[in-house]
Amino acid sequence: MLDPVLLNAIGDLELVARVTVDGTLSGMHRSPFHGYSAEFSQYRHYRPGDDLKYVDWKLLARTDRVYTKQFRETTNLRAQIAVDASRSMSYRAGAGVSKLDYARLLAAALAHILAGQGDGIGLLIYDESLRRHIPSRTGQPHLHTLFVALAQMRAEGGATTAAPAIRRAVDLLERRGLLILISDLYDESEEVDRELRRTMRIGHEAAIFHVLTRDEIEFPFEQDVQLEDLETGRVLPAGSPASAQSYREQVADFLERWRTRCAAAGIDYTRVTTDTPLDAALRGYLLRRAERIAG
Amino acid sequence: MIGWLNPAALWGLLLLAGPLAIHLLRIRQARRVRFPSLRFVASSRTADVRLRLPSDLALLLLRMGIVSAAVYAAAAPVLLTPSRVASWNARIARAVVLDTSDSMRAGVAVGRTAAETAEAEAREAGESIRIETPDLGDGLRRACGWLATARPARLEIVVISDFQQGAIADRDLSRVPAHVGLRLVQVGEPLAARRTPGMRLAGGPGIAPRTQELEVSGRGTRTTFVARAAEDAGGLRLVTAPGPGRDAAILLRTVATAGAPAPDGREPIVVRLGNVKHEPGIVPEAVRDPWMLRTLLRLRQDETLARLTREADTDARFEAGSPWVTVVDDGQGAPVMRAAAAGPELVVDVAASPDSLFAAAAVRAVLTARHGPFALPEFEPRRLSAAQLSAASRSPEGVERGAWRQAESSDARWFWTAALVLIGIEQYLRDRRLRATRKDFRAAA
Repeated sequence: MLDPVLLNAIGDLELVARVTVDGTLSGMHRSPFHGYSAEFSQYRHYRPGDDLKYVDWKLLARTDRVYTKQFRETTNLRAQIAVDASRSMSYRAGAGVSKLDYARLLAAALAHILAGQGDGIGLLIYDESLRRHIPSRTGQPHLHTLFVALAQMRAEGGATTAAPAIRRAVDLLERRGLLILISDLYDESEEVDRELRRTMRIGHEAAIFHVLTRDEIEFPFEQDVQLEDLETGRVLPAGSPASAQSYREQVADFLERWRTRCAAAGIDYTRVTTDTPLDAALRGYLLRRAERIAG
Repeated sequence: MIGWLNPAALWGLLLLAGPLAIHLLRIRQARRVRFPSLRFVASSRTADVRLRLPSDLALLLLRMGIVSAAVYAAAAPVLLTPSRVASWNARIARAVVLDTSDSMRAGVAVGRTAAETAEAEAREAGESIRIETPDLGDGLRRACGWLATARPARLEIVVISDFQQGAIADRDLSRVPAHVGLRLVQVGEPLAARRTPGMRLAGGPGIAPRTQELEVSGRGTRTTFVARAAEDAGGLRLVTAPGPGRDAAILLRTVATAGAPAPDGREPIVVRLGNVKHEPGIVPEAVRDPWMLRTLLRLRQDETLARLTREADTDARFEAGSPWVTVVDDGQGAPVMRAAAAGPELVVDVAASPDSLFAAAAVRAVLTARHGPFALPEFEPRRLSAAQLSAASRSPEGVERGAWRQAESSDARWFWTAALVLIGIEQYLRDRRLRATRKDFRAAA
């Protein structure tokens, strides 16, 4: 098991990603993200949002029905990794790594896996606005650029505003691709829901890594404390057993909402805490994905 | 029960507000924790309530205990345990009053002397003082004063005297507190009779000066007048205005016949009779010599003079004013008799003719006032009976409730020890918490 604290202490993101991936893929297929064939596969009824260039106009003329053509692509996968760098991501529980550090390690490992099988990877860092965007490309130099961007990533912005980032990431996927969102998901706005549904409707694949600390789930503050919101600066006296219990119940609801929301939309949802070994988090996601594709 | 030798130190308990305030202040500044999002955190009322309650109750109680113990120690507590009270009751503090009056010197000691008796009485007591005095009333007062400051014990006064009649007054005995024991130890044997010279009387023209010879016995006092050789009447000078009936010699003989103490050349007096306004060589000045002041005081208390004021010459009145001191006035404020110093002499002006009764009374009063009262209580041959002495004696009572105030030492050491132990526990608790915090920091690093 790869302790996030140890990995974070290494400092060399490329090395960390390689070590993580090697541990994760041990016993698995070396290319877990299978690409799509460019050969024609089947027709499918047109759905709003489908690219019009895949509409079979001849068939429309003959049958007066709108179908889009689906292909087995032979090109490699295109992926966009969107990382939340809002201030709330800077929180660390005790001696563990911060959520941002964990997201950094996770993104690096995913990028390493994708690059290893020749897929194109892009990176999008956001908080309340888009902070940085690196278009999807392939190759080791590009991977190195991604690692540098991830290493320079700081949680210095404001609150989380995920919807524009998701839309931008999806728009940048020129063809059907993979959106990987790494965030604490404190933005539960309707816009986020809409963008995620749109992503899936277009035909992209989406995976969400919900990164939290153990403190945010278990709320260990039963003594007198004043909690300061990292994003808004608001201060609230807390720490009574009653308020802790209320918090835990609301967080459980929050997590359940995200789980059901993702399940309904067909999004792969992985909840990780910052003390979760990185390889375990990755392996769980990859195994689920492999099962889904095989099924 | 517990007593405090220094109760003012208990005001120090106000210092308890210190640790209480510190703990309350600390909790008001509750630890601030930065948290990702407060969207699920409800500000609980219980947290507000807890802000007003001190945290670290154990540490707070320890610190308040330390302050309390130190304050109690500073207040010098005395624990009144039954064993301590019993130990106090087992010892005795004794003041031995030894009569050193003339009568004691005159008496014939039988068996142990008074001094030996006093020594033995003092030796038997755990704490004692020996007071030698010719005045037993004064001795009792001093003894009571010493016993009031003695260490806690049963208190007793032992008076060693021959106890002739009048040696000790009931008033003096009643001043001794009821819980103080009193023992009157009579020493010596009574004398059948005693002889002593009495007062020296003034002489006058044709009258020889005399001296009293007194014999005091249980039956009474016998006075014998013994003439002595004529002597210079130094010490008294009479000044009269010239004229008929102004003869000072007649006045002197009258005074001598009535009997008056002889004047003394060391305390010279000038008596000016009638309206003598000027006499060369006399410059009046304020009275300062103690003997003159004593004489004037006695003169002003002489009731005979006051009664005879109306016999004074109504034409002769003096003016009041410094340096003259009015001795007797006429009831209207005008001096009839006044006095002032003139060098070593006391000058007394009397507004009366030398042949008047008032003049004679005034001269006799001046001589009597200079001499002072003549009493021989020490020559009283009769003594208080054993029954009287026994009736006045009593045993010392047990230690009274307030005796702890004179305790030689307090029990502060126990409270200091408690404070030190509490400090040790407090230090241990603090160190333990500090170590835990450092451990957390190391883990975080």
